[in-house]
Amino acid sequence: MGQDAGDSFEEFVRGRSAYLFKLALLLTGQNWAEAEDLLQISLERAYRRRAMLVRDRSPEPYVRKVLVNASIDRRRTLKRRAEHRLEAGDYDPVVDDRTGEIANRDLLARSLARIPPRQRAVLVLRYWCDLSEAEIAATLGCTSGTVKSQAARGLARLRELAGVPAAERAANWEVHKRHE
Amino acid sequence: MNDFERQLREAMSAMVADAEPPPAVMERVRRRHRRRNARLAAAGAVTIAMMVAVAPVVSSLRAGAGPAHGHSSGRLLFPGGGRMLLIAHGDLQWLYPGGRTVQIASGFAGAIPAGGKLLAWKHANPPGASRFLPHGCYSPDCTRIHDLSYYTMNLDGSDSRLILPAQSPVGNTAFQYQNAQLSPDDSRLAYISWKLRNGTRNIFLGASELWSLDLSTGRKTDLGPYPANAPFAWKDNTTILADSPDGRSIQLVNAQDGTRTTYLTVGDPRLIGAYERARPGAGPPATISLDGWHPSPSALAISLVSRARVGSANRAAEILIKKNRILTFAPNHNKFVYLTMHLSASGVFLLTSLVNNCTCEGPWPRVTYAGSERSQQLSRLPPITSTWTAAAVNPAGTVIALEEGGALIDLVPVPSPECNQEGKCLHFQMKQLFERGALLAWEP
Repeated sequence: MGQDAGDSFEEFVRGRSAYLFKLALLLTGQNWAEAEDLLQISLERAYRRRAMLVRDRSPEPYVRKVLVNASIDRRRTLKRRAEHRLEAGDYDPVVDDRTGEIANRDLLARSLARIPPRQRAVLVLRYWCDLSEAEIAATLGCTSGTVKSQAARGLARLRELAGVPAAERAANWEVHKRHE
Repeated sequence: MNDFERQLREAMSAMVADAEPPPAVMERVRRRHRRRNARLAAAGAVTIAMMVAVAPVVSSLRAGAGPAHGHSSGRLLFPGGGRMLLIAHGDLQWLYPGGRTVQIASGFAGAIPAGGKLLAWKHANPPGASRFLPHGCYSPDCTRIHDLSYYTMNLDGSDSRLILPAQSPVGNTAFQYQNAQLSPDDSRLAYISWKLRNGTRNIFLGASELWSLDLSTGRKTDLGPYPANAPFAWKDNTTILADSPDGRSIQLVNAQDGTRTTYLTVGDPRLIGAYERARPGAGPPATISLDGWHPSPSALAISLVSRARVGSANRAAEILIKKNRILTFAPNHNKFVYLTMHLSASGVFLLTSLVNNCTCEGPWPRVTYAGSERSQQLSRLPPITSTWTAAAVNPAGTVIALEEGGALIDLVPVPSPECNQEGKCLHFQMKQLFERGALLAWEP
């Protein structure tokens, strides 16, 4: 394994670990322990292939793919995890207090943690990573159609959890259906 | 983007605005890597110890039971004979069963054997390429998305010849050449030319076209629009097999003038009958797509699905047409199943099924099967091989090599139903090659 590949990979980790950790945090619904674990899993897998990855292209798409798919595979992650977080509202219905923008953001953040992992991954890749549908499909190993439907379902579920009125939800759903 | 989506974007940014990664990430990654290697080494030692203990017993049993199908020698790096074409750190090399490697060329990104030659490609980084940086890219390596130049060379690396140089961007547009294939007589190259437009934050992908290049005159011919990642294959020296734009037929494309004629349609009664037998109740197939073609002996693999709309009930069935015989393979009765077939010269093929169970709670289950025209059945390969990224079958049709991410090559015996027609099956425990390079081909 060449020294250059190792150096380039370390440079990549130094430059991008903050971004990747934030991505892991969003994908895990703000579970810090799980996010740290996911980050290490994905970087270790990329480390094994560092020579190939730094030679051919940026390791980032590969790391992102591993990160996203590992976060979706809850069974594997949960099996490894010996501890469960105890956070308020983990299983309680989310209540919309509507006291301001910060509260709304917090509400959305907590709601995001409650939607299915695959839908959450699609929304994070779409709205935080700014990836196109095709790029998301490539990351998840599915079709663009699946990405669209997952995004629409995820948004609908988020609206429901965040307390957006049913009429508004229905209108938004119709807009999404028309765009599909 | 509506208000809600904007709020969601802002909420996500706010959620992680102050998040910092754990300290010494790289050290933690190295530690995890060392632990994994130690686990693998321990598992390997146990396997070897068991094989050493069991081998004399097995040998004596075989000696008493008459002629065996064959065996792998402990002195060999890999069973199955022939030689593997690998790429490691940009070096193209042949790896022989005894462990000898012969480097044939440097600085390449990949290669495939074609008609007694190699078609190889490398990153050219032409002037202006650095402007095409994908969003989120961190280093100049990211310019290397569209700059492949193609070469031909002899199997020993001699007589290297640049046949399709990467094109420099024109204004705001670059052209990415990909999926190039040599015609059987090495006289023409078919390839996809994909337009890339550089936006303010990201690369936008534009139209892609199929082209042919006459290697004796240098004349390029536009064969019309073609999906960038759709497969195509040379049927003979002047004709290309390709999907039709509407997904309803396989077409023959004339490489000299681009004219298209229909080769096989989804409405062919033989295909409808085969599909209905494979997927009872799914209705007639709605789309047909090319999955592979092998000229010797000629074999055409196609995939049929029941609805035209991707993502809907797409119950796929794989059809292998060989000497006018139609063989149908439809493993897994799940509603959402995608199939791909990898053909080999030995007649052994690999069929991969990807099931979208739509519970959407994890990666889609992926299963690989080996099959052959002779056996007319499928044998499931060990689950450990489900994440392969490149595959090859040895020329004798006895060993399957599956590579995962450039670092690991799994070698498994071709299952008995697929190899025992000639009485030459190999029996061995799964073998792994570590850090040998990425697998490109397995040749005689």
